[in-house]
Amino acid sequence: MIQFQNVHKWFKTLHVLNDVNLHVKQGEVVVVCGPSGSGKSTLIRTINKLEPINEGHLTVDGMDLLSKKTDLNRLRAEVGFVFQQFNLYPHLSVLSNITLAPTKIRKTPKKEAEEQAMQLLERVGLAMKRDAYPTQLSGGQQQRVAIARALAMKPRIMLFDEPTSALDPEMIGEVLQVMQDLAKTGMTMVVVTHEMGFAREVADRVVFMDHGVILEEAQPEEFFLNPQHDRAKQFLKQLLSPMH
Amino acid sequence: MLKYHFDWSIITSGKYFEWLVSGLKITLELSAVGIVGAFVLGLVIAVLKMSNFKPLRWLASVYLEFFRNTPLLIQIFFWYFGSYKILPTAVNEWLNNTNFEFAAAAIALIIYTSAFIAEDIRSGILSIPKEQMEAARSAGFSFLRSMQYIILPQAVRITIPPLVNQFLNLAKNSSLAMTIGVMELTYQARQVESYSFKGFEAFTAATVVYLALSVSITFLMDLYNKKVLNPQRS
Amino acid sequence: MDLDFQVILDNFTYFMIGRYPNGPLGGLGLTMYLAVVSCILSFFGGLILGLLSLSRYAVIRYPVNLFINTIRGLPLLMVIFWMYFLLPALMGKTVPESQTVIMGLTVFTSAYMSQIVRAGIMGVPKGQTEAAISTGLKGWQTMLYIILPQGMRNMIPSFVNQFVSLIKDTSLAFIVGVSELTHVGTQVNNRTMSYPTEIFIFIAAVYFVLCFAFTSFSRWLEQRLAWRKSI
Repeated sequence: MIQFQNVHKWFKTLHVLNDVNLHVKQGEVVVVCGPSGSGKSTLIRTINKLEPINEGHLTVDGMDLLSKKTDLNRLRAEVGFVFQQFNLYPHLSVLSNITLAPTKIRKTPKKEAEEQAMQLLERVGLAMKRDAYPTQLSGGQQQRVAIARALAMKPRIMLFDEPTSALDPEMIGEVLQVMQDLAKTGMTMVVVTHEMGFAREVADRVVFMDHGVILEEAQPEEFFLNPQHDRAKQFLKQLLSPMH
Repeated sequence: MLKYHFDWSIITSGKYFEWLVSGLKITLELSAVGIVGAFVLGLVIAVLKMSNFKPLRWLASVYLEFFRNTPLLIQIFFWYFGSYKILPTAVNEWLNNTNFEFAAAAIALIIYTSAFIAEDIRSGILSIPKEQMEAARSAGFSFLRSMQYIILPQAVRITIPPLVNQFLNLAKNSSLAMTIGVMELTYQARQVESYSFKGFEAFTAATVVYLALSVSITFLMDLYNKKVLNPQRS
Repeated sequence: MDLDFQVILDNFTYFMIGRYPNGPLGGLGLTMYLAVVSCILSFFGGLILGLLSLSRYAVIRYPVNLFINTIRGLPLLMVIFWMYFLLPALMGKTVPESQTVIMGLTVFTSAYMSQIVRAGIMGVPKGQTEAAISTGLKGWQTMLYIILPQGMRNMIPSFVNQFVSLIKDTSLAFIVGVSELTHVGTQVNNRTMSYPTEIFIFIAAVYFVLCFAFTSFSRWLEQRLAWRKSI
């Protein structure tokens, strides 16, 4: 589904992705973790080309991201993206946030788009908020709407860039629950997160990155119980320490 | 479409060239007088506007609102045609013995621009977080010393770009002085046009001079922004 | 100092609407007409110039920015003279003075409006663009449905301020002989000879009332629309 082959990326002189190789199969849930500045956000942003890569090969759902022939808008419509800061459209109601792309791009009739949007809102438990504006919602609610918005395009892949990092602790659970439900439907997901509970329960694989390099790739149990790399050990120790 | 015979030589030498140069000289003089006057007056108004004495604040507000919300051209006409009735005789006599057109234009430019400058100075000072003053006072500085060492040095840096912008506006606005017969650059360009019928050349010359003025000042400001305001960026 | 405002009362309708309805509209009415028409035209001019100045193609961006900065570097009077001079040559026929002035004001104000549009667009957080293109919206759709509606709210107070400047700037129409408020004022002044102080105080007051009303409106809008900061 997603195939990285010897991918490199630089920000000026900073080597943010260094020879990345990664293969995500259909229906797989992959959690990417690592210290801040490790390149994990950049990695996930290359998948729908919010960041272009400089070297190597990257194919997503059969589309070659380096080829000029690839229709970028089609790619992005196939790949849902959920941001750390939600990025809901503040001037549109919850319902319009969700229906905008289906009506404008898929040319779905308005009524049908709204019915689908309501189904999605029910799925994320926010049907009663259909006419609210983003600023009237809590962070957790906003993020659930953002997930519904991404799902409205019926994507084949969902990307999550630290979806719970901007949330108050008591709201993290509701968002993770929605993501877990989504994983059960067989959605292909790549999730950048520090929520190790989620990784342990939901992920098929955990990828650990530092300094733009993938240092470890393992089953969750294996990664948590027996990390191979020193930096992974250190990372887990810091994350699990009570001071954190 | 255009059957027009270009003749650039008429504005690069001879009588018309001299007209344009003398026009530029007056534009520069008027701008210089205006900038100094507008800055001093603007500073005074800004201080009044921030004073603790309510009637002074109110007076400053009326001044600001009135002169900002009235066309400069009307203000020029007022000083040129209409001020004699409200000014004391001594002032009228003195004005009549000077270059009255120039004086009326300068007064209008100074008053009009000072209202904008006062507002820029005030918002520059207000933009300094009040914690800066609290920190300075906590460290034992008096109010005036806090202003002198902490607030003003920061405010000046922030205020310089909008101030220079106002100076540039003043220089451009000085072209309105032609309406009361001040023989500045625009006046002379028009004069060359009506004598030589070479309007295109004359207006091009004036345009180039105005642009040279604007571009060089904008360039200096960009430099200032880079070196002084945001020195950390490359 | 003794002022006699009888001259204002005697000429009041002339100041307000010129010879209308028996002749062309003049005075304050024409001032408002010039300001409103130029404002509408400059709004679209500013929008187009502002969008072009942010184009990702340098061949579009550079000439547009050069044009904008050239206009901003010139006195309005100079721009009006250029119009006065170039329009007949370009159109191949004489152009009425009021249209010359509207064109001059439009070109001049569009350049300033484009800066407002630019700032408004750049003030919308980058995440909004990223979110929009991530759902597959095309560049122009993102601009039309996401960026402009949000940016517009930030731009509105500045647009109103530009309108105030336009009202003041219409006074320059006097110079090419358009009989708006300033021109009417000088006419009455030339005719009556002995009341310049009264006439120009009155005219200044009329402009002031008009401009101050819109300035206050813009401040009120600015406070009402400060919603973005509350997020």
